[in-house]
Amino acid sequence: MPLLARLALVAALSVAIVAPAHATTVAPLTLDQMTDASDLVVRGTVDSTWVDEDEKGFIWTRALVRIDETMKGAADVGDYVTVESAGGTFGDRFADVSGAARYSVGEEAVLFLSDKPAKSVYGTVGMSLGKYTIRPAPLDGTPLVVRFAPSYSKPYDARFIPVPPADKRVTLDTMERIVRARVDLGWDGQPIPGISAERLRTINRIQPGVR
Amino acid sequence: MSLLLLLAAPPALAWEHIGKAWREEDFPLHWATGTSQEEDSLAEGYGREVLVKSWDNWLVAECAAIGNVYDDDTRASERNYADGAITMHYDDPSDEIEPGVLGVTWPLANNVIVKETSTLVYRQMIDADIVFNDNVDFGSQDDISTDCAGQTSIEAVAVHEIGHLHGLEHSCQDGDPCTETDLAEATMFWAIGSCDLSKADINVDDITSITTLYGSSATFEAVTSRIGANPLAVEFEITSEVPVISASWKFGDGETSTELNPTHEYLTPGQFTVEATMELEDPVCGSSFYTYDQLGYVLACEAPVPAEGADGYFTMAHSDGLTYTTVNHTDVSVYGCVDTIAWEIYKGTGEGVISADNLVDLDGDGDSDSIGAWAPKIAFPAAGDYTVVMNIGGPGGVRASFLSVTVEDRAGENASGGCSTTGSSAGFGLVGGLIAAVAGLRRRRSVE
Repeated sequence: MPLLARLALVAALSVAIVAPAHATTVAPLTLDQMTDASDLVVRGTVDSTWVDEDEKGFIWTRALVRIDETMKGAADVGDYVTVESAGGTFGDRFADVSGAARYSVGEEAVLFLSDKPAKSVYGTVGMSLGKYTIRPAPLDGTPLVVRFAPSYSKPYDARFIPVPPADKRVTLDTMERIVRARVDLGWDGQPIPGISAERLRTINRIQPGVR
Repeated sequence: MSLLLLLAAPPALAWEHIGKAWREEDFPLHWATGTSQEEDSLAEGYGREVLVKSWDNWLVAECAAIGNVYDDDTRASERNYADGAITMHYDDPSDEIEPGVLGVTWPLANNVIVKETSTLVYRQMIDADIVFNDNVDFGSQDDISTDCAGQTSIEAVAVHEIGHLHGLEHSCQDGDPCTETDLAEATMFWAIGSCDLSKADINVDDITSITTLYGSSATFEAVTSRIGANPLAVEFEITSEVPVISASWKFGDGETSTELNPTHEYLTPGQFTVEATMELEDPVCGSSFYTYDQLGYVLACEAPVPAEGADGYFTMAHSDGLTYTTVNHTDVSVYGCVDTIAWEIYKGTGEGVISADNLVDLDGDGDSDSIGAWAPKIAFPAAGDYTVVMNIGGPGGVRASFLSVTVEDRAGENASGGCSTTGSSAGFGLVGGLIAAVAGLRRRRSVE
């Protein structure tokens, strides 16, 4: 997809703001670790969002995402995946899970997805850590990737999220190069918090020399 | 027309801060473990011990009226996050927790408001359960301090999650500047690295946070608008159940005050954290200093402007056929200062063209259209002269910028074919370039 056509799909991008959220502890993963821990890494566009309650009584916000590009895993452009994020408002009940990824319709993002086969949905690795919204740089429209995780208590509209300062910007192209290089290289055998070695072997090419 | 559209649009970003808290009568909180009460990697018996200790670590905040009781019974392995019973699970049998996540608190609140200020609304917690990710190599504080081989402190994660269970937020979130040492070193910091022993004991920021929720504390609020166009004068007022002896304010812009209820004028645009350190006369805890801050509390905005170095608010380039792409140059460096956008296309150019009669029906549904995307792709209905208007606004005001374009049908050509984005060299024939950048459409907003 040409750059300018991609830009036209962009609703907005994320940025850091003082938006504390609640309820999880995460390990600070590197981009390589997030790539290794993902079944799928895709660039996609949010088609719709809704809120569900599961059989255990917990509330999930779910997003239907159309895949625009696949960087890791087996998924075709044009396919749709459902991605869930803990928390949301369902009826008269409200669950605010910190660090949960947020989605808005029309938003374009790079997603590091972890399969939840029992539910036929995906989650994002490290919750909000595994979601990078794509936002155009203000001067030339270069697509940037930005993480942003406001709590469920705040409205989320990806169109108006500021881009980071110039010295902290990461372009989509840069991220894509890093991810694809890691996929080609494979998992290095080092443990990653929150995922078993068995699963890492299943979903990754293994670097030479890794036992 | 433009003004009406903008006023009709709902505010995209609000600043209400809704939290959650238990009621006073819910304390002491009763909790139990699930049937899988031990983490595999820990010595036998340590699992239960670490949870009891982790709950009690919060009792260091002695001015917070909290307490807990461990119900010495294990609960069924059947998970139910809405049964009203606080349960802690050491495993995640269905791998519901994503990779990279060490532990999760599943909080559930209803619509009953437990506590409320002008900016903070706390809903009643009705349940909360904690689940640890059993794909993490956890270790005890002793093990890690003796020989850390990449383990994560289970105690640190437990204390952090119990903080969430009480209703606390992170001291800093991913992406926050987090320059304050107390915030970065708090147990409620958003991440815990392997071999990190420092988070098992709560620090001064954690104590302040839980005391704010459950103790005799003081807060402040703005009694005049705290979001608006700068210069913005904001009047602050302390609210306290106990006598306030003195106060020391930091307004976030480098200015300070020692008045009890000061008024401060913000002269530059930005998002400002306001902090007040108050000396309280508490009947239980005695005289003490208490610091309360509100992150990003004041938002002083200018009307939207182009980003530094940009030539105007937006440019356009030919994409394909009658379709053109836009690049939005508006500066969005202050979060919240841009929160509405509406693009309109008018048939024709020049003076008087901005009228409802000329508004283009882009999707052919018979209604005139407005586009809400940040940088939309615009498909013109036919070749000809048009005026593209971008209305963009926020608390500091609204700006409308205009671009006159002559659209030519060049089917099969795309942006890579050499169209430029500005000026007369543009392949699609800019007639007047950026003919106007500012329309002084101002609107008033209320804060709360």
